[in-house]
Amino acid sequence: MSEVVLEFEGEAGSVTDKKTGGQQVCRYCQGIIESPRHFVFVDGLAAPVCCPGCQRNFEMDQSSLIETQPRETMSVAEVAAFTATLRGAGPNRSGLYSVSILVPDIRCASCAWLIESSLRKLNEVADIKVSLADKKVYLELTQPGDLENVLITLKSLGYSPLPDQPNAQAEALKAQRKSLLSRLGVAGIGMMQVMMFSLATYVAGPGGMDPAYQTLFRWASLALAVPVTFYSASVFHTGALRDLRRGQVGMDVPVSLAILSAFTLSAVNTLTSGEHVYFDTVCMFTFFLLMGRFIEAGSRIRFQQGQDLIEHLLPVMTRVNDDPEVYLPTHEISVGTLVYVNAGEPYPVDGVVTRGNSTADESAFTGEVTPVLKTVGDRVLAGTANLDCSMQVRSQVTYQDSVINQLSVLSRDSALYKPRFALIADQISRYFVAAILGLAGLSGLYWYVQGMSDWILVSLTVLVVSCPCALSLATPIAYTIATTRLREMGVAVCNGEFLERLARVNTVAFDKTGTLTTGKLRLLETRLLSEMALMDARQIAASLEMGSRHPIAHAFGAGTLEVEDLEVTPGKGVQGVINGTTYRIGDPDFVWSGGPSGTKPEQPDEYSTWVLLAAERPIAWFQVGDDARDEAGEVVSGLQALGCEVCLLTGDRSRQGVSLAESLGISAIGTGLSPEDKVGEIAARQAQGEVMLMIGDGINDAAAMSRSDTSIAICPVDSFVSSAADATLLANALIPLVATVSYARQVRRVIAQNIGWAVAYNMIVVPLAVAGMLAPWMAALGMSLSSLLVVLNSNRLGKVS
Amino acid sequence: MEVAFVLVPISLVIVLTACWAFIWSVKNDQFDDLEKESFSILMRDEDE
Repeated sequence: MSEVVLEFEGEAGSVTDKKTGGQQVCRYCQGIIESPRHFVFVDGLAAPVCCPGCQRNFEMDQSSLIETQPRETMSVAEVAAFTATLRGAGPNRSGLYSVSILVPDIRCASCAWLIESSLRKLNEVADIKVSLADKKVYLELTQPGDLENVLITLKSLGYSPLPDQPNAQAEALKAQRKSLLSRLGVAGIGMMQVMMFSLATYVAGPGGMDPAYQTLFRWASLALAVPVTFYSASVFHTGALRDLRRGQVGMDVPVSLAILSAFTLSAVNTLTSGEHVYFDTVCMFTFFLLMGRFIEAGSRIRFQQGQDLIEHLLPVMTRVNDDPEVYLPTHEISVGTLVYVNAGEPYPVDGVVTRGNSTADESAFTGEVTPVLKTVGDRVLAGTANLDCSMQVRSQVTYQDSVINQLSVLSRDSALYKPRFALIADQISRYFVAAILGLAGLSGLYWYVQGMSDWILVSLTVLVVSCPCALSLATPIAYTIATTRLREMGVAVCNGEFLERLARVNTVAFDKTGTLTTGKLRLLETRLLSEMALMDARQIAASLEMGSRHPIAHAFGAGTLEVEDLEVTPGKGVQGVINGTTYRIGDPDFVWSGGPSGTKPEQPDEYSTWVLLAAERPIAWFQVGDDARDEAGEVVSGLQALGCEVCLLTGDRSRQGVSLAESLGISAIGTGLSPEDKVGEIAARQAQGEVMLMIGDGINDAAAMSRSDTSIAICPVDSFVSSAADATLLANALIPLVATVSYARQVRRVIAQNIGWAVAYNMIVVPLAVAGMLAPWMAALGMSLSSLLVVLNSNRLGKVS
Repeated sequence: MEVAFVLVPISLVIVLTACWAFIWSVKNDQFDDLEKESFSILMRDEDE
């Protein structure tokens, strides 16, 4: 049973599965499958499994027969290109060479098992470890760079190995997690031991214990508290020092102060046989606070990985010649270079297919799992996978301008963006911390005057309990998760304020052409008004429209005449000189205002879109039209169900706009609007208190988009990510729109919950702490739980489907 | 009860060893992937 046959038969069977319902689960490990590509046979029917590992395991369970996989081959050049990108580390202490390989299609424990057991059989592999979390294979090789068999084995198993690129940010986060974990462990062990001694003291009660034992326990506790205070809690001390050097009072300051002062006081009392020691408090503070930090770091790493994977989709080396094979680094590929992509490999460049027929998996960009057919002249995106056949592609943009690079820049920018909420929270935190320090001092003083022996504990409790960690976590963590989730839905967020504004939107304005309709305009009819031959008129029109990016321009196809003095009036038309004659094409009023003589010709009818071509005299009418998108009706009614008013703003003055609006159930419609009119219309609605979302293609309605409260561009055919809009729908479809609007509202709800909780928590516990009604350990635990609650609440946003 | 004067110092030594062992295991990537290892009991042995 070869894998090719399996996939083919399975694919056919799975179409019905997908239609009939719900998510598909792996037959072996029960994991959820997005796009089934591996199958097993159960009673002659194909059932999907998530990965080659599960397929192998399932087949081995069914029969004792283990089939050998077909050997894939890999050229010397390909292996050399791969090896060249690896870090050239020397042998380690055991004389072995460490190499890590990224395998993005590792899905479950079966994959890890399959890869480990297959690679371990190779002679050159001394040790192997597969990390499910990193999707990486860590190898120890006996010879440097001896990777050919490893790579061929991985490919034969059905995986696509990629060179592991070092990422400084990710490495730093992992190092931070490790260091926090070590500190947490030490604090935990220390805390348990100190508690044992404290418990004995508590049980004995005051004076109930022989002073000799009490001294012994105090000294032992001191010995345990030293590493906790100076090793485990050092993250807080260094953070506090950094803040103080910058002249700020950050959140680490009260924490560090509380830990250090409690430790110092206890140490002094141990040396001088004073009344109280608080080593148990010190250890517990540190342990619970570190716990909060550790969970926060884990959450950050998880979403950092989501962001990184998109860059890993790109191959490091690109094949620019097939025979003999020549490779160039992907980021050095220039515009116009022909590149070669085999079946199963990712496209390295944004470009146009010049040879071959295949399908592409664009799910990384669009969220759409059905493979897209690609043939000569079609656009392919770097990072999407070529599934079936070898292809030749001409690159259209440099690496810097590719969608994948723009996306990673955008997501980095939006991660840095601080929404209004977060800025306010930061402001509040700053004053809040200063206020806490004062409050802690005052309440300590009050209880001291009142003659309370544990007055210092009250002070410490106030310091720790009121730390506004949860408040300052409330927004950023929700935004990081939401941006990542939106990208998975096929929405690229370019402006950090997008989600915040989208949540308040109550009116959605659509552009017509290319937004509610497919935008693939066709030339339906030509009516000649002069002696000119039909083909000549079309040729002139096409050549003029080559200069315009309006969707109507595409209807005319490619023009070959040379045009001089080209002038484009957005939304109106084009003027240009061909062979010494000035032509104007576009909106009849625009064409006529340019000064042709004679009477203005009557438009053939009012119901469709007519474009006029004229020189000195009118030459021809062209009728163009396109069809409504299949999903338009569903999206419009979905938005209305969310309580949004939907309106249509179009430059088109024909009946088509009105009849389209009526068929979709849109009552508010503005036709024949120039870009300025659209801006005016939006401003008028805003004046009535409506919050506007403008949806268009981002080219001829850029002005209206920037006037609206927020805007979404639908990915235009010829450019990739629109800069005019706050967000871009990457698949050329409106489907994610309704989900995006309701998601934005959910994000707002979650943030409001987070902030509400953080504020309410502090309002309740600070008075209790000042009144001396809270034990210090409750304060530390409460604060960590409060942060944890905020993180967990935000994590819900990552799971929304 | 005088034995406490011996046992408490011994416990400190044990705690120290435990801390060292924990830090050692963190440094040696024992805690890097907590997901996969939990499945290892369910997976086939090498030579099957």
